[in-house]
Amino acid sequence: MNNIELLKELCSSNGISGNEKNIRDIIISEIKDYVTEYQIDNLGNIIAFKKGKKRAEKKLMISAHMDEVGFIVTDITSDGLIKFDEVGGIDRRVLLGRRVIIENKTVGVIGVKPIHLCNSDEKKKIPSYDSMYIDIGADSKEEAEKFVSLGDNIAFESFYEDNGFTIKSKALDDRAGCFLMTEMIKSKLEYDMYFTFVTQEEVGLRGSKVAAYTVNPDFAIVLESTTAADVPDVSVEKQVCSVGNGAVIGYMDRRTIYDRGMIERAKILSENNNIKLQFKKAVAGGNDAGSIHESRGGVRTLAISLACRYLHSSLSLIAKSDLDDVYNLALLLSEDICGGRL
Amino acid sequence: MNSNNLSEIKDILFDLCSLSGVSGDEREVSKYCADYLSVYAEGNVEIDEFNNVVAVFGNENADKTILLDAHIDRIGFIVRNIDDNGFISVDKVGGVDLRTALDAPVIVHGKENLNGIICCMPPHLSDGKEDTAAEIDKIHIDLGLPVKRVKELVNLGDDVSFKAKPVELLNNRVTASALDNRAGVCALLRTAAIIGSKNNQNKKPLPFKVVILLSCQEETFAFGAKTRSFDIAPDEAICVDVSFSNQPSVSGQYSNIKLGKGPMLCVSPNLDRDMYNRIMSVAEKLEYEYQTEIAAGTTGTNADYIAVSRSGVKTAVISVPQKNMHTQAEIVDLNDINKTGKLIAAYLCHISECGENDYE
Repeated sequence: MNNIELLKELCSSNGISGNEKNIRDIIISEIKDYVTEYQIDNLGNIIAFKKGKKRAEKKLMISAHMDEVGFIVTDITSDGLIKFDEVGGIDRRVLLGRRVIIENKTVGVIGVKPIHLCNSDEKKKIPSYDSMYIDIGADSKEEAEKFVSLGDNIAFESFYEDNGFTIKSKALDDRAGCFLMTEMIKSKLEYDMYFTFVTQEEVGLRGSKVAAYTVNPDFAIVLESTTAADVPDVSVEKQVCSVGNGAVIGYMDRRTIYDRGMIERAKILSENNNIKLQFKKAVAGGNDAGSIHESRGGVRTLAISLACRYLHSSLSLIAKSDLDDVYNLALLLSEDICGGRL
Repeated sequence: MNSNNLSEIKDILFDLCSLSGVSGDEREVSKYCADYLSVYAEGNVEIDEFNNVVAVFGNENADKTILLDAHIDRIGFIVRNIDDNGFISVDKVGGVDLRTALDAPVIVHGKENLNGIICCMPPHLSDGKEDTAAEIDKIHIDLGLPVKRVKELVNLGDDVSFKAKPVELLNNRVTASALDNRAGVCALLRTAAIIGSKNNQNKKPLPFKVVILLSCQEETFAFGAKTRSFDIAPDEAICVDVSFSNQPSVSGQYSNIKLGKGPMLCVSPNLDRDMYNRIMSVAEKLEYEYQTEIAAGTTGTNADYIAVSRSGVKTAVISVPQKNMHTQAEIVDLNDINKTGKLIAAYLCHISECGENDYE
């Protein structure tokens, strides 16, 4: 990858579903000199078109989502504590004690009743959302309201590390996909292609739905981050996919049955080009392919994913080698599609 | 240290919380504190073979010895296994709150400090267990490194601590991991800067011996305080720790304790009531804010051991109020650290009958 620092910038910025502006701004400044044209639609999607050396036989849209899971302020208590709800699906077990940042400026922590004062049930129980709160150090509602308003977005605050083998960060789902698309856009493309950086994936695949309508493609490739469960205490058949074992393709998930022709071509391309490819061992989850493949009269669609541990949390993990495999496979497949060879 | 300079307290506290020092391996933080204390202490400052810091102030030949104790260790984990894929299994060192463990960023203190993540199950495998915290035998750490590299860098017995870079919240509050008890340590460093005369010839050394003990291994078995209080054989001791402030779902006496309202003075059957009264009267006289905490049995601090050292030691406990104890999200108020350090210094000056202005 040429500009891996961009991934850090994308992951370290905050863009909860419905408020992806920070991410959009970074991406636009990154791609504007390389695309033929781009537009921002009513839902905040970036729809970019780049001319290649040749005119495409089939219209292809490559898509990744800009938004990340997070929280939204629902109430401020008389004690100056911030009540919140989840935006996107987040396991409550990864929340207590976490550092968060509200509207990119106010730092807080998710409070925890001291374990010394808990009874034996409380010591093991994760509270429900309605009893969780964020402490920003304010003592009263009036004081808190100087810094926080209802509806403010809340993002996880954590760190980014690239240790040469893996990358640890929040929001790798799906800034990693966005990053790979910027790399494609900066490369010399064989064929004309559309690229959509979409909003609101985590709250129901909404940005991609309208972007697909606008682009009206014949084919779509979704670049995603998908659950890798290759951790201890999970049997091999339940591990879904493994970090470092290459690009991930599934036959089916909870929203989509993927295009068999595209899957078969992906297999051949990976074999012929030394690209590591693995197949999802579970019918689980869903991604923008779910809305894109149902667009208008139907779109032949495939998701090519990065195996990602601990997604939808403050700290997830991907392998750097998988970034290369996903990139290379997506590029080769896109050329076969646009060249009319599929 | 300027008495009004909270920013200096903040800097020291942030340094302290950024240093390692899980019980049993307090070397890094002990070195930092010993260096600091050496600037002020009239007597010897040493780090013993167990990583306790012992600093002698005042007249070391005096008959009377007062011990000021704060534990310097922090809770964490200890590495007990590395599996074939490089995942690390651990056990608890001290009372780690496992409700905060899953997906937590940690630092594995191997041959170098390594960033890790405590593994968590993806949602599709958790099947309705979102209500339940992890158990320690299901806690595994992912360094994101090949197993060969993990085994080169990490040994069984290495420590693991939560990673939570200290940051400032509103109202001079700060959040970090290890504020239990780096906040107490910081308060005693503040006391040291006030009472110590080594760097200031205009100051008079206290007429009795004061030993500051920054003790190891409190979070496990109070080893440092038990053994060093035997050696130091004090006449009086003040133990500085953190205690509970009000926060949601905390009821009873702690619902009345507030951050920023000064140190908590503890009344307990196993503490000396006269000392409590004297410290309280110094606070009253100087109009220093304080709050009262009642511990009906023992206190859960090093004081429980110091008070019964040798033939018994008159002991008091002064605590910095804290929220979210034993998590990565501990919160204290810098004012409380400052007030704790000042009150202890004022008490020492009071019983030495030096002038009131000497301890400002």
